[in-house]
Amino acid sequence: MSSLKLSRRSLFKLAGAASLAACSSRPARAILPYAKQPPELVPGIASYYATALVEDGLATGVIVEAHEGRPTKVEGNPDHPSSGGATRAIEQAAVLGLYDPDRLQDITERGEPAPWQAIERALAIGRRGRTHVLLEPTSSPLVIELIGRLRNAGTTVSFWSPFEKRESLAGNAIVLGRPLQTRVDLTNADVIVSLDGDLAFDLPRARQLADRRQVIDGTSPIARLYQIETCYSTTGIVADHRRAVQPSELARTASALLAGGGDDPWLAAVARDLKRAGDRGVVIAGERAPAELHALVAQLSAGSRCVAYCEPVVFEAGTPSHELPDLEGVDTLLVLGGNPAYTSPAFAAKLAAAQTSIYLGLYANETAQACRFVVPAQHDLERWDVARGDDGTLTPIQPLIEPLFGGRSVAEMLHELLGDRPIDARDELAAAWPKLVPAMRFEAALAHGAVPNTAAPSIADAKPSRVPINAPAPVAIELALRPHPFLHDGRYSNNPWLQELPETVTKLVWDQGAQLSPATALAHGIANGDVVELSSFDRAIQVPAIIVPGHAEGAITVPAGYGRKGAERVAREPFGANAFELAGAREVRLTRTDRHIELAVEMESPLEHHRPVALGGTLVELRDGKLALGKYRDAVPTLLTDMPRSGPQWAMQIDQTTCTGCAACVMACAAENNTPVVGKDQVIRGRDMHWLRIDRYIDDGGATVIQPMTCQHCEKAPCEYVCPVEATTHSPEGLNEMTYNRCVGTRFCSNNCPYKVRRFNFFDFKSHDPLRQLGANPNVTVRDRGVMEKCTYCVQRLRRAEIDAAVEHRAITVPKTACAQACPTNAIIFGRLDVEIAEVRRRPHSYAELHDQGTRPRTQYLARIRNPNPEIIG
Amino acid sequence: MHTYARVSALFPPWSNTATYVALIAAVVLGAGALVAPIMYARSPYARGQDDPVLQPIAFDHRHHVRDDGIACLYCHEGAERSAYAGIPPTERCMGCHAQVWNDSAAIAPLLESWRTGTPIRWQRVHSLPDFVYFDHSVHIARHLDCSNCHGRVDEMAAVYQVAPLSMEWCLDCHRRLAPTRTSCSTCHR
Repeated sequence: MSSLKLSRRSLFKLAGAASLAACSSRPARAILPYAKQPPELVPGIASYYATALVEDGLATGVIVEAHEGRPTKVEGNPDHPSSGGATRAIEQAAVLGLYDPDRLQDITERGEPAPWQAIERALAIGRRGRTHVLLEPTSSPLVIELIGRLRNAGTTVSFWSPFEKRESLAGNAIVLGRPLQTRVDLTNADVIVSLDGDLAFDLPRARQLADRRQVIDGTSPIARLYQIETCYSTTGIVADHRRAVQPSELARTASALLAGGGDDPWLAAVARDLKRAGDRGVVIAGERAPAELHALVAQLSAGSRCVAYCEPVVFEAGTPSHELPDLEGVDTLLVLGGNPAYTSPAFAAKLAAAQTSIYLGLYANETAQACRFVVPAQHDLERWDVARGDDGTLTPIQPLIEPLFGGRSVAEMLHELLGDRPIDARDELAAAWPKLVPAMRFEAALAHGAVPNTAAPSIADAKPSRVPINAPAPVAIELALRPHPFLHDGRYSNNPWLQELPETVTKLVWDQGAQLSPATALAHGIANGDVVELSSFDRAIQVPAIIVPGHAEGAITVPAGYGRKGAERVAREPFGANAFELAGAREVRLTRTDRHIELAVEMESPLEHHRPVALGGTLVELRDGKLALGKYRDAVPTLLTDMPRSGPQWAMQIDQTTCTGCAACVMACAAENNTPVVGKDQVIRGRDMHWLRIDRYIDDGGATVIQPMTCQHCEKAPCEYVCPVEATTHSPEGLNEMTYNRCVGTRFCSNNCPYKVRRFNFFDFKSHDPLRQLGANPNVTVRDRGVMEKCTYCVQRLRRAEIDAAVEHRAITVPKTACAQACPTNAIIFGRLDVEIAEVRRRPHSYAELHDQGTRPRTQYLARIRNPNPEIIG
Repeated sequence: MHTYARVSALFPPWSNTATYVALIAAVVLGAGALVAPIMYARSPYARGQDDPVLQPIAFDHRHHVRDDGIACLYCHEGAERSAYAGIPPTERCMGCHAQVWNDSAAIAPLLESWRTGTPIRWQRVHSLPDFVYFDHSVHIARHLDCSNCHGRVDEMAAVYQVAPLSMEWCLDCHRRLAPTRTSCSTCHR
């Protein structure tokens, strides 16, 4: 109180005023209508707009939900071929990136606030001098036109992103003569051999693969997937056969496959399987694999009907303009987006030497710190633009909200550099539209979110020629530098949702983990969390190690996106180092240091402890009735009375065969249900708050099974009868309800839950930042300290659907839960027990989790069915 | 023969009565301490019932509804479609008041709002806790009349809350008219 300097006299004054104010029980609360209400807006009704999120120049069509003008939730656009209605976790987290308090808010010159006129002056000088523009890869026809004009005026332009399509184009250039883009369509694939491919995060391919692996019963003709890789990826989990090899071994494997398998019986069996599949067999390679491997893979897939080639969608992709420039003689450098100072440490030194440098970006990152002028950029949800999807589909981008911090777009900067008069971004796009797409009106395209029939045409005469490829020699410890599945190249590192999203195989959050196999770790005396030094010539980084059973021997996988040294508060938090320091290195020296850190791993024990948890088997076993899953289905006798039933009976089915563990559902759930971020310390204490988690179990052979786990909505729920205050109850539609304002936090329910899916707010985890609060879903309570919470089957969506049906006097349209809607493979099916779920529940491999507990869960699973090659044992 | 010393009584005779009264008072006060806050919370006073709310503009529903015959949904049109009935935007008021009474001092704040584009700070009359998700549209669709919950607003000079808006009051209706809509997640989520 001393700090308040409250005298006795003023205390009494205050007390008097307070008691007077208390005479009215009603706290004064204002209610503010619009002065002029936008015609399309009704307060309380969400609006939805089609737009796109762009990564490395490629657009993913999305539909964004907005409440009273604030975007709150991203969903996939079913009409956009790059989305098909699904999203990755990254798109789900975009809303949090929009409302990021660390975003750049002011134009600065050497850290001091500067007016826009300062940028205008610098660009006017740049117009006359030797100027270079470094952009992120782009497919926007508007920006491409501006680049053409700039080059005519003598300005040089190049593009940079560390993980864009580069190797595959280079590989295709070897065998096709020019850098064409590979287009894979798995719709008709029978045998898929993936060399380090990551299908889980490639939305259209993930869905095609899932459609080819739908198990109705034991006779379903499902595709067979082989995965040969270094790091244990989620594609490796899904695969029927998996082999872990050093990165350099991949090219030798591909060469051997080309030669019919050679003397390796495993590879020979794979090669025979591919041959049997004829043109329905396909070999694909991951984007991180070197060009040589892509050249070999193109030859392997030469006769496949699943592979076609088209001109690259990204402007000038595969050409020298996609390398970082040498800044010799450049007076003015514009860096428009990206973070080259972080993703290329060699470029950072050159950048600092540039005379005048201007950076346009979202964050005060490493590049912003190295540049003289810094201009806040517009978030994807704040801008007008047009881009192309991965297949070339033209995609208009429209804003959901005015730029929160007055950001500028890339086109605006280029116009200014060209000395054009300022033009409204929407007017510019609308004016350019009839030339871009004569067939579709601008407004119609905006409403649709994609222009049909604008995909790049396949090139019929692109036939890979046989070119001999030399495979590199093996090394002792080989480095695999990978984009982080959620943080990518570090551009999403300031997003706490993505930082706290467990990577499916390692279950690691918040810190970097250099992955290595148990044997390699043992040979170097490394334990989980030991900080290791990786060095190549004069470059070295120190990263914590994490041991991953199933990882390739003699290799170490280091994810990018850590060791961030910008001003972003969240990105700086994790322990790790910049993996790009070692970019280009193949062999590294691995040494253990004396340091050790505690890693936040969300699921410590990967074992099932001899209990039937994540069930599975082979297709043949299912056909022959050897799986005997019937005993995990029937109702167990119970003493509890039946709950009254009325209305639609909600239920969920989760297909473990098609689930790829991409974690889009986990992120979608967090975005829909306002679940908080708790931080590394709390995760270590087991207090993570995700309502939906992806459990992974590793058996002795290193094979992994994954199982999305959330509230099972038991008909005989163990949580309900232990709650002393009836905060958790059963609804007539079969929902296990949680009423937060009744909960007193005894945690009895969580103790009694056999699935451990209840989450307790040990502290006040919710965000108090007014900017962050804008992203919350207004239809879900933001929970306070001391309250239990868990999956509700997105009850707010169910109630919305019921109310809409009642208001329009029609039958209910069954909504999708957030997880089911985001799922790229439709592995989560939600609906009514007797309608949508009835068929899947009759399938022979449907089972109830922890069936012996007699909980009669409404959420049930389809066992993980593998389709192994009978020629390969084990 | 023994004689007994006369010892004065420690407690006067009325102390018996005082004890009984004190014991009863302790029980009554103890129970009162428990019950009083419960009773208070359920009182119309605590709920702000029947307490006319003064608004920045002395808007008279009697005049607009009865004299002018404007229907509730003309201004509160959100009630048909949305969870919120909504307060009409200044624009709606100006639809008439650009022509009618546009020089009246009473509507000066309205004209000010229209001129500057700043919303009018109307004072809330009906307020539900944040953990209650009430939806107007479904109640209108189920043919409830506005006056069922809001009373005769057409007879109010300044609007006041008629219904207690307690959970008991909600459930009372739901149990009778919508017996399948009484589970917790109907309103709490």
